[in-house]
Amino acid sequence: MAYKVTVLRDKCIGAASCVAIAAKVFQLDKENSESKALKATVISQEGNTDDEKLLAAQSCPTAAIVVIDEETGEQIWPPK
Amino acid sequence: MAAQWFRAKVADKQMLASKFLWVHLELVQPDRIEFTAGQYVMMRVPGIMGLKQYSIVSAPSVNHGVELLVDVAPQGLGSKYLQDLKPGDGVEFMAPAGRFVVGPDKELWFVATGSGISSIKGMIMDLLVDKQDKRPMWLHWGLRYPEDVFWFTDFAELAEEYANFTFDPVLSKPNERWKFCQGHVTECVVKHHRDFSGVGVYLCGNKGMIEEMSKILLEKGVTKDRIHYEEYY
Repeated sequence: MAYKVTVLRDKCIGAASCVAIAAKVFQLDKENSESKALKATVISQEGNTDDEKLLAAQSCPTAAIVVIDEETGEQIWPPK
Repeated sequence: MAAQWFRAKVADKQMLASKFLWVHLELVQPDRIEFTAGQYVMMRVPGIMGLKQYSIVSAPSVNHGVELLVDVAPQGLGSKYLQDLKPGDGVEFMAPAGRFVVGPDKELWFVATGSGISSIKGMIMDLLVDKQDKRPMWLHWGLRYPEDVFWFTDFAELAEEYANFTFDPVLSKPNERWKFCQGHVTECVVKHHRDFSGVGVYLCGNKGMIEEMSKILLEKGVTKDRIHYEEYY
């Protein structure tokens, strides 16, 4: 896996597109014990392909997922 | 059901009122879909990186296709793409996705503005027609001008046929002939209801409405877990 994904929780609105596209990498969980709002989190960097991880990030309506190419260190998404 | 890729073709499309495009996609492969009313598809749109979300208008009982509704006034890449499609053209989407679905509330209020009716229409058809759900249900639907109105007869007929369903059409800029509620849809919700206990409220539409309605509902004692809204809208 060359791509590493990170969820920016403050931007995430819990739309769950990422979970639908790459369910082995993303899941929803509560922001904290008192909150009822669900937000995406990364449960594994493996289980979905780099293309699926990138598509999940590109399909996020709030651009809350950052994709970094671990080999080069380059930020693939969102474009800088 | 886990999301999967579908190929579909445009079976029909139609402009509704002044600015709303309705599209009926017939599934090709796979040719059947399972989803929960209120969920959405994620469509491949040329020129857009990633997939574009569109709520499913049709009820899950229509499992051989999906209907979508788009406000084309903003003229974004997605709405232009859908506008340019012709009957027979192919599209690709992933579905189902989303968690804007009806819960076990005692009474259901649906509050929509504009094309936010898309996911809510599917919920109402699913509950009333397919499941014969007897819970009290209200639809408060806000549009701006008289020329924006569509599906009025559809919902009015549902209200006649199903005693547990009440339709409250709202215009913020009506003409003198408008006999129904006027103003912001949030004002009409408050006007019609006194008892906010046990209600589940389903909001879909512009962000301003969702924020304002949520604030009012919280002030009236509706707990956060009973206020549901479509997040990507």
